[in-house]
Amino acid sequence: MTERAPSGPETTVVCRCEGVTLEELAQASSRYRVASLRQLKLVSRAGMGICQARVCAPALEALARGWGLAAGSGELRTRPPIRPVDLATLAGGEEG
Amino acid sequence: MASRVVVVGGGVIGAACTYFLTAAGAEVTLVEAQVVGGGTSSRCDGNVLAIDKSPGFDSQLGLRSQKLLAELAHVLGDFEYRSPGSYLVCDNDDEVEPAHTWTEALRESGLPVEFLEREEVHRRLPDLAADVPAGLYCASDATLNPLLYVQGLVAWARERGASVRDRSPVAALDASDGRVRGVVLASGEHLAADATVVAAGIATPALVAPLGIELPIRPRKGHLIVSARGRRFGDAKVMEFGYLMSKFGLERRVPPDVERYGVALVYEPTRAGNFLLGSSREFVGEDTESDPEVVRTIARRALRFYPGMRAATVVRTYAGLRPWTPDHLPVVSAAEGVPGLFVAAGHEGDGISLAAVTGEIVRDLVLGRETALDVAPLRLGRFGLGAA
Ligand SMILES: Cc1cc2nc3c(=O)[nH]c(=O)nc-3n(C[C@H](O)[C@H](O)[C@H](O)COP(=O)(O)OP(=O)(O)OC[C@H]3O[C@@H](n4cnc5c(N)ncnc54)[C@H](O)[C@@H]3O)c2cc1C
Repeated sequence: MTERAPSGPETTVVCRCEGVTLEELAQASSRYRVASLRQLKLVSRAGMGICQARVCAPALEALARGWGLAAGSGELRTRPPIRPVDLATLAGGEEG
Repeated sequence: MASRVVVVGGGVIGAACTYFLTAAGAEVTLVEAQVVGGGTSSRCDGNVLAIDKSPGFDSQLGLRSQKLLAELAHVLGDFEYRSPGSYLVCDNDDEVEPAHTWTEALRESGLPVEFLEREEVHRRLPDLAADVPAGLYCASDATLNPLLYVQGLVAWARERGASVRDRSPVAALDASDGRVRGVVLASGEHLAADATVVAAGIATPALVAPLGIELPIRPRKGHLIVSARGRRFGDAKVMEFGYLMSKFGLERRVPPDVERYGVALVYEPTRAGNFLLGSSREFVGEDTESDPEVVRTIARRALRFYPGMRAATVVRTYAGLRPWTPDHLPVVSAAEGVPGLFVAAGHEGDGISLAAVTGEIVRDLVLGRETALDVAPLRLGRFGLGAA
């Protein structure tokens, strides 16, 4: 899909945690006929890594706008825990 | 013969129905309220299991779906499908005998299952807590990425002419003279069809209720914990045998919070290099917020089986709503007494596993063909309620 062609160099890494490049996003977007930012995230894993899109959200949202995707404000919502924690902490110290 | 079909619901079940119907030459419109694959089918694991199905019909369904899926893996684009088998491990000595019995019963149903004595289970799963007394292994069990699977099914169908309407909630089935003739969208638009397949997961009962069909599907909430990429604890998925006991409502010897939230260990390594931890089972309405108490119980349960996971990094948690039915089997059926209407819903914790076989059955029911399996146990009318 030509309107989804990336404008930057194709090796630009958009989501560093998951190592997703601009080229991969463009490919996933046209292959699955992505219609929304949430769907783009689901098919590419962009924004699903350790920082939970805290770093790449602005870039993803800009891309989504550029590609004419539906991009509501909650689409990259961070889910709890808000910051990464280790499993022992999540388990609350003592083990049951 | 029905040729124009409307499928309501773009989860894994609606996607599979769309795929199989399109492949058979039907003219399909898939109608999704929000985004394709955004419902329960994006808030789940990707286990494709036969090991956790009751011996007999249930496990036959599972096996048939595994076979179809292995074929789909060649047809659709990559959806991270692989077949490393799966393990069930026992928590205590009380579970060893039932696990033995389960193994024998599954073997009689033709599943490639083996019982693992203490030494063997620790040889194969070296990260497991030392006191685990036994386990079993099913070689045919597979795993996939549910997000890519749903998108792949729909993309394939679209390329062959299926049309997909997302962000288009169905307001009502279009029924007149006791026959369903398509759907009415919230926008007021009518979509006409010879056959309408309702595959709307937990929303299915509300859609068929106006026709006098009482469908006992309820949302059964489940939580997942997602790790960061890092150390993994084996390549095959591991569940505790108590998962089966929890699934079928049997009594287990476990801590009270584990019992209360229906928690059982599920460890699922993904191809992305991280892993998922589950699981819980609760009837608490339609809320999908994570409950910290439940998450804590799942984390503790994981550490009981994998003490080495203490330092594993967790990046997020989330919850989904399994479409539960009273007998743990889905409804995949024509609506008896309502021509033009079909239902494919109620797959509880098995929708990813059973999507392929469900799509195949729906294709055969809609097109008036003979089904590969005897589908009487999946009939809508079996609950003996309402018009069906
Ligand atoms: C924590 C958890 C782990 C799980 N792990 C596994 C696993 O490992 N293996 C497995 O096999 N299964 C698993 N499951 C179960 C599996 O996720 C479900 O069985 C499956 O996703 C159900 O699919 P569905 O298509 O019926 O429902 P959904 O995916 O919910 O799809 C229904 C769709 O219908 C749409 N819809 C609703 N109302 C309307 C309307 N009025 N008009 C149009 N569209 C509408 C919704 O928006 C939704 O997209 C798990 C579930 C949970 C919660």
